[in-house]
Order: sequence, then C-alpha cells, then structure tokens
Amino acid sequence: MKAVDSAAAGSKWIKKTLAMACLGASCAGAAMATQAAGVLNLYNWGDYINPEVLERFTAETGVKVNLDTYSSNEEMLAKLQVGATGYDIVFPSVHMQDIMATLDLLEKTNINQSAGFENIDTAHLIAESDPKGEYCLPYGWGTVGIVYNKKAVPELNSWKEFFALPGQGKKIVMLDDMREDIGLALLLDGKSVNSVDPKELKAAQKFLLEQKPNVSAFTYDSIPMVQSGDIAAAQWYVGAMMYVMEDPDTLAYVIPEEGATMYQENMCVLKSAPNKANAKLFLEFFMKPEISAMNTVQQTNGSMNKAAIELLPAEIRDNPSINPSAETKEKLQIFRELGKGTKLYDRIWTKFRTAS
Amino acid sequence: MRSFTSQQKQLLLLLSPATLFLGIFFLGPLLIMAVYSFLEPGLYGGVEWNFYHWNYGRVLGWADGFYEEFDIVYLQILLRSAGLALVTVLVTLAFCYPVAFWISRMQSRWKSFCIFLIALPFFSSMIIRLYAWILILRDSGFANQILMSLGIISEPLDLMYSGTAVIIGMVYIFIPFMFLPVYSSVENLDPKLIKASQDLGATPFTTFRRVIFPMTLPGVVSGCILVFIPALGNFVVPAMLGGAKVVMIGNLVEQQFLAARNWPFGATLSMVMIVFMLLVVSVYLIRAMKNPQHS
Amino acid sequence: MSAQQPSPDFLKIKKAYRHFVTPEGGTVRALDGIDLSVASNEFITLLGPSGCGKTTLLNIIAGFERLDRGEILLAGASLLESPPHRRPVNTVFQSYALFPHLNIGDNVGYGLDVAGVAKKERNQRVAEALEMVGLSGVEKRKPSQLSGGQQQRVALARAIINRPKMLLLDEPLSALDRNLRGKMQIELKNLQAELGICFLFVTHDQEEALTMSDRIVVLNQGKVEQLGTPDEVYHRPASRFVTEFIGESNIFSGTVVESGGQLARVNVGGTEVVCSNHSLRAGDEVSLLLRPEHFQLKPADQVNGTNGISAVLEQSVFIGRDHQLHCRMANGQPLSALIRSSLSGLKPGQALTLEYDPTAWHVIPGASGVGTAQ
Ligand SMILES: Nc1ncnc2c1ncn2[C@@H]1O[C@H](COP(=O)(O)OP(=O)(O)O)[C@@H](O)[C@H]1O
Ligand SMILES: [Mg+2]
Repeated sequence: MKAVDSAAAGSKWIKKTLAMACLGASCAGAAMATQAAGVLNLYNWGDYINPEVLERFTAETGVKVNLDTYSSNEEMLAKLQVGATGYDIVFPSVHMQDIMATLDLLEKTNINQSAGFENIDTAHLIAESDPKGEYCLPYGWGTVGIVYNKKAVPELNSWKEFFALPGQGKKIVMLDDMREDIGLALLLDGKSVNSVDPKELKAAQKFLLEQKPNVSAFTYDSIPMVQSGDIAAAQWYVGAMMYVMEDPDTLAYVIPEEGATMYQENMCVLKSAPNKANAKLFLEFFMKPEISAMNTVQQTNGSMNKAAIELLPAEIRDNPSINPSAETKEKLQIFRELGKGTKLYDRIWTKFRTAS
Repeated sequence: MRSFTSQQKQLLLLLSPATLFLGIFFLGPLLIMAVYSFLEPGLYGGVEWNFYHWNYGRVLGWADGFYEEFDIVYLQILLRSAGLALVTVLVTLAFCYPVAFWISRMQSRWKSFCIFLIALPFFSSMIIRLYAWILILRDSGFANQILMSLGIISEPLDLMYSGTAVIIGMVYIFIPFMFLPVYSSVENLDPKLIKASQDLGATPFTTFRRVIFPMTLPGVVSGCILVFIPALGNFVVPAMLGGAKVVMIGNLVEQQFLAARNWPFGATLSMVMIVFMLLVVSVYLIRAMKNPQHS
Repeated sequence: MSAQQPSPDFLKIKKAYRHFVTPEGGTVRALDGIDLSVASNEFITLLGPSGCGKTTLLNIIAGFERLDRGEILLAGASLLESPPHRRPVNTVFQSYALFPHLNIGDNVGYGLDVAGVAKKERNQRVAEALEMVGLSGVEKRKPSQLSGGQQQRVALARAIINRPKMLLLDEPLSALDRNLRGKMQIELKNLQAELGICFLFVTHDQEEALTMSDRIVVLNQGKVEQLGTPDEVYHRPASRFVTEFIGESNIFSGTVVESGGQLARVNVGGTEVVCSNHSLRAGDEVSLLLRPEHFQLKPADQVNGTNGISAVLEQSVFIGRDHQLHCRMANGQPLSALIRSSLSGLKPGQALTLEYDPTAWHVIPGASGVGTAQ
C-alpha cells in the first residue's frame, strides 16, 4: 500500500516538473493536421494578424484558414524540431529565418517572381539566407522603444531620460527579454546589438546591473501599469501605438533619439507544408496593397509594402513612431543569430537576473 | 510452484494498463530527460548525440569550457527557490493550521461553506487570479486606496513588484494545497484526546506539544510537501508580482529551453530539481514507514 | 490510597444549573438544580437514561464545561475556578480516548510525564498501575494492538496513575460484551476498595448500577429523582420514573376505598388491592407498585381470599431459575409475576390467583406517581 501511495504522489510532482521542463519544447505534440485541399494552416505569434485579412482570403479563394499561435521564435522552432507537421506558413523573425534556412526547414517559393513583389521595399530583404526574397515575404516590422504615461512624464525623447526617471521618484519597467535588454545596453554603448565580444558584453552587463535597482520590474505586461500611472514608462514594442491611439491623452510611444532595436518578421512556407499551393496563394494575396494596409492599420506596426503605405491613413503613415524617417531608421539595429555566442548571453543574463 | 505463480502475477502486473500508462507517460519522459542531461546542446536547440560531461558540473559552478568561469550562480538560484518555497510553506502553514481548527469547530453547513471558499480558487486560472492581485497591490490599487482613505498611510506603499508581493501571491496560490491535508488531520483529531490530556494534568501548551501536534503532524507534513514541491518550481508568481527581478529555478529551466536553446542543461537542471525533491519526499516516506500508525 | 477517616461531604454540588441551546434554537436543561454530597471513599453511580445530563455533570466536575450557576466544592474548596489540568480528579472516558500515537507505557505514564516525574519512578509507577489493572508487560504495544477490554484497563491505569482524589468514569463498560462487562464490574469495585478513593461512575444500565454502587443517583432531565442505596432505590423508588427505570414493576393507579388501622383498600379499575396504610384517606388517588417477584402462586386450596389478585395467564417464560408469568387482570390491565419454576405445568388461558403481602406494596400518593415515597 505504502509503495503504491508514494508512487502516485511521486508521479504527480514529477509530471509537474516535466510539464515545466518541457514548456513549449519536447512535449509539444503534433500540430493540427488538416491536410485536406482547400485548407491553409498558419502558425503565427499571438494577435499578430488582422482576422479580417483571413476572412477576406477565405471569401476570395474558398480556402479555409486555421490559425495556431506561439509566443517566441524558440517555441516555434522547438515545436517544428520535435516533428510537428501540418503547418504551412510560419512567421519567424529574421534571425530565426536564417536558422530555419540552415536547418533546411523552409520551402523555396520564388515569391519574388510574383506580381506585386515590386512594391516590397528591398531594404527590408535583410535575411542573410534570403537576400533576394526567393523564400520568404517580408511581413511586418517595428521598433522597441518607450511607451510612457504623459501625465507622469510630459515628454520623453531618449533612453537617457528614461533611465533618469527613477531618480525623480518615477517607476520604469523593462522587458523580460534577454536579447532586448542586453541589446539595449550594447546599443547605448554604441556597440552592435549582436556583439559576442566578451569585453563589450561585460560592459553591457555592468550597465544593466547598475540599472537593476532602479527598474521596478522585468515584464511584458506593462501597458495596463503605464496606463494607470503606476509605472511612468516602459520599454515596449511599437504595437503600443494601438493603445496610444485609443488613449492619446495618457499614452505616448517614442523611438528614443539614441536609437532602438528593431524586429522584422517574414512569412515563410515550410518544407513540410501540406498545402504549399494555398500557402503561396496566401503570400500573393498578402502582397495586395489594400490587404497589406488593412493589416498594418490593425497592427499599428511598420509596413514594407510601398504601395500599401500610400493607402494608410495619415495618422499611421506619417507617424514617426510607426514609419520613422530614414534618419531614424539609420539608428535602428536588428537582431542576428548569435550561434555559440548565445551561451555567453545566457550566462550574462542569468548572472544579471540573480544579482540583487 | 509457488514462486512460479507469483512470477506470473508479477508479469501480469507489469503488463497491466496502469503500469503501461505509468511507464510510458511517467518514466518515459523522465528517461528522455535523464539521457538528454548527458548530451551536447545543439546549436539551434535540440541535442547532439555526443556524450557531454559539462552539464552537471556547471550546475555546481564549474565552467563549461566556453566563455565561462567558475560561478555558483545556479546553486544560488536553486537555494533561493528553495528558500522562497520554504517561506511559502511556513506562511501557508502558519495561516492554515489555526484556521483549520477554527473551521473544524464550526457548524457543519458553515464548515462546508468555508472549505468551498478555500477550494474555490482551484476553479479559475492561476494567471487570472494573479492579475487580480496586481489590481490590488499596485500603487493605485485597492490595498493602497483603502489604506490611504483610512488615513493609515499618506503615500502609496511600494507593494507591487516587491518580495512582499511575491510571498502574498505564493501563499495565496498554495493555501488550498496546505489547507486540505491539514484540515483533514485536524478534523479527524478526536476532541476527547485533548480532554484526556488536560485531564491528566497537561497544560494547554503541553497538550499541544504532546498530543495535538503529533496527531496532526501527518497532515502537516503532507501539506508541506504538497506546497513545497510545486512552489519550488513556480516562477509565475515571482515574474508577475515580483517583476521577475530574481530568477527562480523554474525560470532558469524555461530560459534554457527557450532563450538559451540549451536543452541538455535545462534537462540537467530539471534532474537536479527532481533529485532534490525526491530527497525531501523520501525523508517523509522513511518517517511514515517507521511509524505506520501516523498515516 | 491511605485509609483516612472518610469525609461524608468530600464532593459537594450545590444548586448546579447548566443549559444548552440546541441547533434548532430550543433550550435543554442538562442540569436543573443538582444537589449532591459524596463521601471520600464512596462508589457512587449516576444512573439515568441517555440525555439526562450524566456526561454534562462529569464534564463540569472535570472542568470541561462550566456551570450557569451553582457551586462545586471538593474537600471544601471550590473547583470551579481551576482549569481541568489543575483539578485533582481524573477521568476514564466513554471510548477510552487512548492516545493512538503513544504506546501503552507512554499512555499510562502520560500524567507522570507532564508532571515531570523522574524516569525511574515513572517507569515503576507505570508498571504498578498496569499490574493493578491486570495488564503487565504491554508497555511497548500501541493501543490499536489491544482488545477492547485491554484498552479499557489501560484507560483505567492511565487515570489512576496520578493518584487522583476522585475518579470519574463515563460509561466505561458500555462498549464491552456481556461477560467481560460482568468481570470488569467486579474488578472496578475491587479497585475502588483498594484505592480507597471516590468513584463517580456513570451508567445508563440499572443492573450495573445496582451491582456496583454504594449509592445511586437517579437522574432524569437534569434533576435528581432519587439518591439512595441500591436497596432503597430498588425497593422504595421515590417516584414512578424511578420505578419504571429500575427493574420491572407492576404499577397500578387507583382510588382509596377504605382506610383504617394498618391496612387500606384500594380500587384498581374494579379489582381491590390491600396495602399498608400510609395515612391514606378514602377517595385519595394513589399509585401502587409491586415487583413481580413479590407475587406468589399458591395452590388453589391454600389461597387466603383477601390478599390475592385474580388473573388469566397469557404466557409463561422460563428465565433460568424462575418463570416469568405474563397475566391479564379482570379489568384488562397486564400483570407480571416472577414465580419459582418448581410450579410448572401452567398453561396459557389458565385462571390464577396471585398472592401478595400487603406490606410489600409501595404506595405513592397521587395518580401520576410523581412524589415522594411514604
Ligand atoms: N455541547 C452541547 N450543546 C448542546 N446540547 C448539549 C451539549 N452537551 C450536552 N447537550 C445536551 O444536554 C443534554 C444532556 O447531555 P449529556 O450530559 O451528554 O447526557 P448523558 O446523560 O447521555 O450523558 C442532552 O439533551 C444533550 O443533547
Ligand atoms: Mg453520556
């Protein structure tokens, strides 16, 4: 009896541990395996596409769209690596696209041959593995700047002012994100956000450790706290513009003058895609200026479709936070794959998080 | 003949569905994790099938040969997580123990109502309940509003993103795990035993020490284990209410599987945690076996 | 344990009241003005039906309940202010209440351990106490490894080890089977004599009370119905309640027809009964009680006309030494008699005359039978 009891008790907690250990990794089961004709399976970040776009696509082509979501590039990759099949299109960040290309997970679509590709800003063909756009279609991009409460801070233009806020009794929060936080420290030091130089990284770590006591929290859930005034300013994505437009008297988003990290996701078709024709159809559909614009308006992020940008309402098109000037764009840096350098980042990040 | 039948029995037992289930869904993943913890991390996640000896040494602080120096940071994290789990255990126990006595003395319909109230959180998502705590604890939250309107404080207290908030959240989340076993042992305690002890000349304190506490100890120990183990792995509360300013062992494992893409080291950390928990549980089991009366 | 001069007022309970509010909102008077004096070496039994307040009274003496009002003195000093652990009384609980996590030695030694008695003396006294209850050498066992009767003895040993001035026993034998119970009754009685202390014993079993007690307190609804020796309570019950509760009785209500001299004649529903005259007057309502064993069945030719009741035998049951006769009187009332079995061969339907000694009738004035015995 005793032994049976203990085994049962044991299995409970070990399962718990496993569940945690396997978070989004090895335990990820098979994806939705809908392979029938007339179906398209998207695997995207949460809330990263306007549902109306999908409805329009279905209305026009008769192809039914299924949407599954992930919350990080690594989660998506891990799931595909352990053999999840059934997905047609994924939305990796540029550095993840490069990794996936190395791992031979992506299908060559020749999307650059399709009508409408001439509208795509070639400056955004930045994946090292796909300089011509033969594989993936640029989807959206944005910056990681500062969202702040105008009642607490009337104006904010720089990271320097941001990090000075705690000295004035105002609270700030940063993202709970290894690359973003170390990247910001490197950027403010005038270095590449992809540096793997131990000396540069030591300096970045030192900077972060100096800021740590002043930063109230490391979190993604910043907007409600900024809106309520409990937090004066937060390092956050340009997606904050969605909230800024709803509550412009309280909230503001700015790309700080020192520059910022930027991100870009591309739409890629998987080698294992069961519906490759539908997938290509969707890529071509998304190149239509009015469709691309419809998505951008809802997402309040940057567009790389020049014809679509023309169609955007002025408040988005001319918004320097969403579509910054060329001069500002110069100061933006995008993350690249670090290879073995990831380990160094991991160590620095762990060390920084452990310090009290 | 005899041994043959017993062997047959054992074979049947081995093939029984429960055993198969346990083998596949419990031992299987555990085995995979144990194997992974001795492999080399793949550059982009996953594993390379080469024996790799750095992982366990790294937990103890030795460098893993690339960019690293000796540093006991992982042990620190493990100890800190254990510390938080221990504080959670102690605070939930301090709360649940007297409350269990109080509720056990109520009339039966009030009893059921109170137990229902305590079990109620089980029916909603932990994340949603923690968001509710953010609304309570933040500077403009209910707690500060009430304290300020009562004139107890003039400036909002810095509750949110503090150690206090983490402990409040942890205790809140884990109270039912402590309460239910403690309550059942208290409920099963015969009030006559307390009377008998007093009758024989024991002061209330001696009665507690010699009768009440030992009689409710099995429930207390189960409660402590039920709280300690998941609390050790919990990182949601420190992240949401503590602002992720400290890493818990759970964060660390997650970080290894996702951001750092080092599955073998994540598996190693999990194995270490499992062994640690096994140690804790076996202390209890050995005790229980020595003293079959108790449980 | 010393043989001092017994004090008759060792435990004194004065006008003790205690009520409870039931969950339904009603009021139960568990103790309704109890007055009681108990001698220091007495075996006294609280007897009464379930719910009459026996446990409540013990709890109050032990200190687990408080009084609404009233006073309890032990050896002249009030008990009410001291907490249970300071009262020089010990209790044997209804279901023993042994500590399941302690072995027998530790259970018995509990009172000494909490008092800080030195190990050597403690072990010796534990052994003595166990020997006294006839259960040596079980110190290392757990309570669950003992039988009910053995657990009972452990509970006793545990309660006497502190050498209390008074032992409270709450239905200690009710869980035992019949044979064992009889044996334990004797052992308890002997133990009490040996210890020379007062035992306040609770039972709802009248036979047990009659067997063991020096005196019996009959309780009903929180009141003392009667306080007396077993003989008094049995033969001269103070009320109809006591009569009905203790032993079997024939109880008749009647009206006095004529009284004069030593005897009175009472009309019981048409049948005339002769009993001793306790200054009764014609027309008084009375209750008459007679134990079944006080009837005699004489051969028809020896009947002395006046002191007999005619009845028809309905059933005759052999109960060991005697026959119990269930009869019906001419007026239809049932009557029960206990007759030596040498007179056998009776058949149902047979007409009998049951003789009695007029002085054996217990007469209680008033039809309801409530009142003091004459
Ligand atoms: N704690 C209590 N609450 C309410 N009623 C009680 C309580 N204790 C006893 N009573 C009531 O008082 C009466 C006497 O109870 P008790 O002394 O236990 O009787 P018994 O003679 O059977 O031992 C009963 O009617 C019982 O229901
Ligand atoms: Mg009782």
